[in-house]
Amino acid sequence: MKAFTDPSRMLSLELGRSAMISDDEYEIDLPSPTDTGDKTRDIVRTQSTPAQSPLVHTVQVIRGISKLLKSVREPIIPLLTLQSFDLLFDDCMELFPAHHQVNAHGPLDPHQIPPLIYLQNARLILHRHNLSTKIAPSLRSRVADECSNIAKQTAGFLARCMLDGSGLSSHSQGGHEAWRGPFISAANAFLCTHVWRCSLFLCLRAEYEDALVCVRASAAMGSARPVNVACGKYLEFFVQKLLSKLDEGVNPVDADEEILALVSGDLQGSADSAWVWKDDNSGSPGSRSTHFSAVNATALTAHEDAYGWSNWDGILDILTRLRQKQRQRQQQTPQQHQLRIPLTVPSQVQQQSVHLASPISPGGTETPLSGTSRIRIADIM
Amino acid sequence: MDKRLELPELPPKHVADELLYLYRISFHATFPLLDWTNFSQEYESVYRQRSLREVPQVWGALLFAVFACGTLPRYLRDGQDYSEKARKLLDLSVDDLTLDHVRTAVLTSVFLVELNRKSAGWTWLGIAVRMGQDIGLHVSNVKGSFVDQVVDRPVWWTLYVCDRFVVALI
Repeated sequence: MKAFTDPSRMLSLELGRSAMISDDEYEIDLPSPTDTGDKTRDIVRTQSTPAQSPLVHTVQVIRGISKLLKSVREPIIPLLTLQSFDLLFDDCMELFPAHHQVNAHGPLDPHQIPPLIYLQNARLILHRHNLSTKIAPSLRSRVADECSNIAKQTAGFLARCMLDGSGLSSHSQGGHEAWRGPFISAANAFLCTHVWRCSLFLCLRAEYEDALVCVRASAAMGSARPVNVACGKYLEFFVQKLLSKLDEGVNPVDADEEILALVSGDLQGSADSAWVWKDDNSGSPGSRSTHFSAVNATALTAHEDAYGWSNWDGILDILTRLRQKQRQRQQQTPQQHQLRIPLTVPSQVQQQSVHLASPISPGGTETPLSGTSRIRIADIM
Repeated sequence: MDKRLELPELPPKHVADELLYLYRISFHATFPLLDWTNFSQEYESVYRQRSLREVPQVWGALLFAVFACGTLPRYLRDGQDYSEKARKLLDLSVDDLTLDHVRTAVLTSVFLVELNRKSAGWTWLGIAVRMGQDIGLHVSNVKGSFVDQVVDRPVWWTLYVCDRFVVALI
């Protein structure tokens, strides 16, 4: 029953809170794939196809990654540890049905994706943990690549939730979006924040197609959860900042420490993983301060403000235009398909007030232009 | 039911039906906390009498906790009101804890977390875990019949998932 050694200290993945349930303190069978909690149905179950409860996959994922919690305490997770956990994640994925695999196709029931999202988020959190000024810029870029790859997988799952029964995307049907109802009923705060984290990396890596999928999902969830509104505000701010940096000629943009801090999102809101607040000269963790609560307060909007923002369409519009220009650029110069296109900040975006104060002080380093030629696109809007 | 306690008014049946439906297709689909057959029978009985007086107080708390979570899929504003009523009905000072106490506490935790009230959600999760341990939910392999395990197992594992992952990762 107990497949994994319980670490002596169990820490929650991001909040620094300790788990209450120890793996050596319970004796209960793992959930059955057909567990419904309904004793009448379970006792009289026939030979017919049983219902598949997502609970069993969820528990398998959670138990499988328990060891992750201890690793995240370290300032930098060693590469070998990351690789061993990636193998562990692959093993967890094999427990899922074929239809739930990353490379599968066809519509996906959004009610089935929670355990997939738990796994995806654990992978993202693990790799994102190393997005720090403590490692070389080239390695940071590799970390951002890995996070972006994980985010693309999540976007893949979300895109499949947006397919209709015939496998067509809602956007190929003139806007008919029957996927929204089931998707919203399956949504929760956890999904909101994971999709937000994915959107940040996809925007950073100019993966606009996948970023659009994520933002559409976020837009569908809208004000359903207060945290999603805060995520939207943050994402709007981040996209503006990213465009601004690109327009200034920052290249590569992921070497800019301000962008690095912003794309790491709520990593900077955790006492254990944040580095932006620490004294760079001392090399030792800084003292805890009220900054943490301030970051959490601004990054996660109070409930009273939860319904005061709704500009998902604005973000979608920007990303759509970025994708359009990217495709045009790719058609003109196919060998530069990895080019990140700087743009002037759209006028309507400039007019919108940014409600979320930047949680960090300015201090990103400007990097010299690389030898790769760049296109400046003015008046795109 | 403690008759000295002022019982909350039940929402209209059509509203309650919708909330139960939304709860069932959202949260219950992933975490089957309730013995749905039993719960829905009790629910219909309560609504025939239009009163919570004939059911245990904790069952009334559970009902309103379910209502609260049922508002989430359509972000209906009455959720907080339902959750407060559930908390008022949940007596934390009793010694004869039941599975319904655990269910109510974990649903309260989930609701608060979904509203981004993470600290309050974390506190209620602690209450739920302690209640579950107190009634021996974590040692169902040692005690209890097959029926108990079928009903207890999803409740325990829901606690486990919330404890290890959900509250921590949002």
